[in-house]
Amino acid sequence: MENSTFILTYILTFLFCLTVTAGIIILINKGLKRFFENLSQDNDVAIFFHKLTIIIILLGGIGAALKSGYNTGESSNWLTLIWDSAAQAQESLERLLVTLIILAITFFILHLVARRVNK
Amino acid sequence: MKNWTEFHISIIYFTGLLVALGSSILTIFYLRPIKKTIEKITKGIDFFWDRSFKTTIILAGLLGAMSVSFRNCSGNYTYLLESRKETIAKGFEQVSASFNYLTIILGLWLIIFLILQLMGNKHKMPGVHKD
Repeated sequence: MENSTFILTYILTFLFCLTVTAGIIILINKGLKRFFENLSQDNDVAIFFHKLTIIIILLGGIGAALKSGYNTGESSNWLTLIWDSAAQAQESLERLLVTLIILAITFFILHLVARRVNK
Repeated sequence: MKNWTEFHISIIYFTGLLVALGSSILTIFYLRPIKKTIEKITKGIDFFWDRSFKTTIILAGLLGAMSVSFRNCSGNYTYLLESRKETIAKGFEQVSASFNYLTIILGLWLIIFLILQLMGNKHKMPGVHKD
């Protein structure tokens, strides 16, 4: 297979991962903003927490998407290329899932603590 | 004359380090104004927190990039001289590892700051409706 095929597949998969990451950020953006405004009751602090969460998700998604374990040897064919591309996307999606789950659990615990402290 | 030499490998290596350092600095720029906000969160004792926050971000970025080894299991780098694709992939791996370290460190700081914020705001917490 030609070099350009590998590069094109890598770039396309990376763009797919980037789109998914951006999509998730857009999806939870409004809720996050309201959560932090409610939690901190200060606009500057809420913006800081919001930015911090966005950058965590973004770096997590991009960081995993950049890693490539493509088999570029002579034994490579279209099937191995598809598997390698799927592995790249899987890595990114897996990282996003773990990041979101950890964030969700953290926010849940903090919300519970906040309610308890005020009782 | 060799097509792909040690010089090229070192360029990829240092580019990876520079990209990692650049991303750490950009992250700090994106989060501005850090000092003012941390002062609000920590209620005045901002000196330690602000410096620690910035330093750990830069260190995490650099350490992530440095954690990727260009040598194979037997300590050789000759396989990179034979394949420029593999060298470039190593460069991407450096940036990827740097982003991973940054994600972990930023996540830890987020939790620390959220707890500090909650402790500071004990008396005006959200979701509380006192009769």
